[in-house]
Amino acid sequence: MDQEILNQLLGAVLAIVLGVGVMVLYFWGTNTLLSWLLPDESSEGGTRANSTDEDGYAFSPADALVIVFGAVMLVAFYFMPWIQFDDRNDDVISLTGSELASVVLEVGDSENVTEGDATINVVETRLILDGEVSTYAFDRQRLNEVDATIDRTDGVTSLWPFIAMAAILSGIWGVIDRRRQRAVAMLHLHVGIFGAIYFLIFWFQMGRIDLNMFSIVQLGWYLGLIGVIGLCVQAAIPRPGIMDFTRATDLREAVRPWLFVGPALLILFLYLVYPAIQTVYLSFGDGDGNVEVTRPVYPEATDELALTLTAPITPERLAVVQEALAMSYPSLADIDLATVPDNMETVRDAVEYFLGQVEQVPTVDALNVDTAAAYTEEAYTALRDQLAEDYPLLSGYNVPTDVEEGFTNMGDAATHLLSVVDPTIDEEFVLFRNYNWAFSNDNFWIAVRNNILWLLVPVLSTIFGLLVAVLADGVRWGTVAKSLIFMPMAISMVGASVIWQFVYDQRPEIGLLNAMVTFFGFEAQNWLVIKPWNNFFLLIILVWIQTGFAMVLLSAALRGVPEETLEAARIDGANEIQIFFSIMIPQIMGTILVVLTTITIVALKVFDIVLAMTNGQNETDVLANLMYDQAFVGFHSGRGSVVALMIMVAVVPVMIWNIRQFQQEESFR
Amino acid sequence: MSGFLNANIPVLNMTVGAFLARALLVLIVVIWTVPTFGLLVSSLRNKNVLLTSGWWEALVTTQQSARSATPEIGDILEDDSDFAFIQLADGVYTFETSALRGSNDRTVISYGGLDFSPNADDEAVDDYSAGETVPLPDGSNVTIAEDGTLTWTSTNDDFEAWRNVAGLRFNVLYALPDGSEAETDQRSLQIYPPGVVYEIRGESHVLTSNVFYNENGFVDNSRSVVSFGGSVLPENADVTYDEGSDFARSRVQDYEVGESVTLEDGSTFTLGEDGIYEWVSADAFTLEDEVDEVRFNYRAAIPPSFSLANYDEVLTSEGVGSSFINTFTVTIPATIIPIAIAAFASYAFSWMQFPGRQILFAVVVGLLVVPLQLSLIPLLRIYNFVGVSQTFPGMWLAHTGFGLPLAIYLLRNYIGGLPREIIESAKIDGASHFMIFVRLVLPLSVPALASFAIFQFLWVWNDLLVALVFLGKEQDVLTSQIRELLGSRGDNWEILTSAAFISMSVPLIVFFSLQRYFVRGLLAGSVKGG
Repeated sequence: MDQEILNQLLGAVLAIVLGVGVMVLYFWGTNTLLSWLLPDESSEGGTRANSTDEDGYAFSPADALVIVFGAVMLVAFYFMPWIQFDDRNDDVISLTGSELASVVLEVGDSENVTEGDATINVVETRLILDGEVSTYAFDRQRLNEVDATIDRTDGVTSLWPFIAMAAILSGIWGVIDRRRQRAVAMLHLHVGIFGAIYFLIFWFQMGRIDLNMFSIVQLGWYLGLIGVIGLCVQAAIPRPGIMDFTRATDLREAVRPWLFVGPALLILFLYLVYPAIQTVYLSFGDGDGNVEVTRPVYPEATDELALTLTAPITPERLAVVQEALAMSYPSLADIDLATVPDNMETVRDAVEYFLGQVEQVPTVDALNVDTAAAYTEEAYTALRDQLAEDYPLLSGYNVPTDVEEGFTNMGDAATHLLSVVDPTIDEEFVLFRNYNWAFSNDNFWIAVRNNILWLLVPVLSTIFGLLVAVLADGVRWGTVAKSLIFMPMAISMVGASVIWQFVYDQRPEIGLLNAMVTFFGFEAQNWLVIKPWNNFFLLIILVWIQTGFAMVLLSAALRGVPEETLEAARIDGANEIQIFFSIMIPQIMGTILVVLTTITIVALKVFDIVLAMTNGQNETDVLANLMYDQAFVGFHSGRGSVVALMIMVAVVPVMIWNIRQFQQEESFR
Repeated sequence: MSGFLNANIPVLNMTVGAFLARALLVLIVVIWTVPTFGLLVSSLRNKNVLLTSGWWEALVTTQQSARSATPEIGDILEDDSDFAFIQLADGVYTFETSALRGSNDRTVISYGGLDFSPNADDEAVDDYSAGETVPLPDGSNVTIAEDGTLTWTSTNDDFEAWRNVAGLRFNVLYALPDGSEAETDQRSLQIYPPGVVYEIRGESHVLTSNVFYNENGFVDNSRSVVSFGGSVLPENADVTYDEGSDFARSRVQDYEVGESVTLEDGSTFTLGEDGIYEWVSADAFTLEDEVDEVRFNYRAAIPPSFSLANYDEVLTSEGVGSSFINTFTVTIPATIIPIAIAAFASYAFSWMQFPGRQILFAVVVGLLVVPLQLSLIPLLRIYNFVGVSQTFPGMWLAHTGFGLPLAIYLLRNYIGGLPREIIESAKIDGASHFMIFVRLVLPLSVPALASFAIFQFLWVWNDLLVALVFLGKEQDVLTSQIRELLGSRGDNWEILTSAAFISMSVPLIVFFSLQRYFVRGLLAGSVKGG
């Protein structure tokens, strides 16, 4: 066996052992630690302190744990080498020649890199992006391609999980605090302390990141969230009549459940709750700081700069830096080099100095533009040419089509043009632009229509499932039949797609359906391009998969129908069909609803089949695929978030019904 | 109606209604299984027949029409090309060409580096002097004369040996007219067209080859020719023509195997059942010949054949083998981790008192249906930030997160249903919750754990979306690999089918061997009702 594969297998085994080990260690360790910290005092017998006892709050080991944990977290977060605010080395970008002209500092050696079949000539280059200097490797052959995507990893945004953890912890703390009436106050204290620490650290970090208004807004937003989540945790927890933590045993037993559910809650929060909230937030963003830049081409300038950022500055190098940056910002060309301060040591200092001298790009209001006017090509071109006088980068610049789609008026266009020349590029908060895009986009509505069409799946699956459940009941080989119909449940949707490609293929030599059609003398069809019926052919695949599920549940339910009722009906002279519709169906109505809702959820989330079979071509797109396309193929997370939210909206009724159902059962428990 | 349905069918000993019901059931079962069965059959078939006949015809000998043609005389008689063809005269096969591409003003001094392997990089040029005869490992001889003529002869009358030679590589050191010396880069000879033999048989000249050659230089022996005809008219053309008229206008079914066709220049063409054709001419073929090539259609019978060759190919050369391992690497921890976490949580939700228990559990029930699309974008950003995207641990945790609601829900239903007395009596005996859970509850809930394990295993194994988002090309799992193949190798059905079947095999094994637990899990997992 391949050494590499062997290594991988070993790694996997090791990981499993480690993973399981960590969990065992956690559960065993915390429980033991708890027993050790809070030893059982039950030997003293039955005297229990009264909850009305107003003695001062005793600082408990649990509190210490929380504080130590929080402190470690903070220290880890800010000082561990793997987390840095300006860590952008992993971003992959592609730039136009002019992008390079405007931002290149140093063109490094080129080397050939094999990527798949192609060999790419890669050049490692230092660039100034967003006022900062970074190193990128990019494809030399494709320098002139348009559409550069710069992915900004924003340290601030990534604080989310930690904030969330703090919120949860303080919430829990509030709960285990024996003085519930003070819990909310405690919570606010935490928020305040945490916020202060955060702000201080933020302050020290200022030199390394762009602290702009938006970050401060974010800060408030985070702090607010801590409070809200904490309050929710508080409010969600019913006030117990008497809960007495004066004795260690009680405190221990109050903490232990949280040790049991803690990991589960944490993971649920991190992987489902928090991302869901964040998605709502992102749906108002412009695509999470992905700045789309397309600039005209100055090919000849590309190779002229060969400076190392760390190289000591010399008058010649200073001139080169000035010249390079002046291509983007002509005002820099007027700076007399003699006036440049002489305390600079490296090329980097020079770059930072020049960028600091760039005049502020005017605001939209300062431009002589009617921002409310409707967006037209002509008006745009006029505005662009006007701006191009000051910013040569804009001459001939065309807006990327997908950005253009989002323009509602000339104000948007002006904002965009300015963002192209602005030396600092901020995450944009575009409010409803993504929603606008979705609701005015035909593809979105086609996806919505198709998702509604896909709701045929639960109906058809239930009908078929019921049919099989009834027919197979009492037949000797019924179990075998059921097992065969159940089998597609085990097959991946991708596998099912391959299977059904063999049914739908256009060539009658391959496609079973066309073989049958031609056998009966009809013309072979390309089933997957016939609009809108192609959706029907796709959803049949899911019916094929889900019928087994419906069948299993319904057949179990049918077996639960009391035999006496059926006997009684037979004696009364009802025939089998009457019995089925007027006795069996009403009896299993609950199960039918469960089956319908469960499959509805599956149908609403369907993705693999569409991606594998048609990739949404020929009006077969569904929301889940559209979301994948937007967010992970087109890298527009704002739009992806909007589409994801639409799926969520569709699911909410089922969710509410489920919870209702559950609560009803619980009341019978 | 009802009377009819209740009538008895004597032989089967059942009523008409029961018979119809059974027939319907059989029909549904067939419809449900046929597509999968088709995939299985297709994956076992020879890749050449996959595109030409449906899998439902796999067991019968099918007939397939194809076009073919002899090589153009012009191509093979070109003087100074690298390509020449084998001539057979007096029992010796000879292959002759110019080693210097017909440059007459140069003289060969020496040569060397003779090798059959296409990757040979022997740069020797002075192994042999011009005119020296060199025996080759297969028994043939090569000579390069001073004037550059390369003669390659063999007495081996099995000309298959020639066909399987990919080419002969050699280097030549030669003198230019001005007396200076130069050497060639590695040159290689290809026998062109592959497998074509020019034979002087008695008085006549014969061009022989086989229509069943494949690109690897081997003859597909399983096939046989049924009939042949000229190249113009399609198989089913309803055209009458005069007897003895132009061969080119005949149809594919017009000539029997082995029948000789006389062409307008007097040469004859025969196609045998084994696919070997002979084009016999009384005179040597020349560039001026009126008939430059013979184009013909033939119909071949393809007997059924099954093999595991597709699987072999897919596992070794298409990267499916490593995807298979990757899938296991993802799946197993992603199954075990959520079970452990969920079991503890379920116990707490069932048997421990803590504030917010009901509401937190209701939240879990709500999370059961939350589409994971909602989580993907923010999660990927976190992953990129922390640096766990495109790693297996990130994948395990993601699947843990997405599988946890169902796990907690299922296990709580089960653990909560354990008899209260057992737990109570253990408590009275002084056992802590931790002890009760490990010693008592865990062993008792093995069936529920197994149910969920199967669920999670199948879900992770079959997942595409999470893998696409969180895994890179390096750690491709089977589903994303197949999806890729569907896009890029859409017509290479042999690869697709076998890859798909490999990906399905493990879930199917798990499914059929543990179906009981799977069904039990399903019944418990749907919000009550089963």
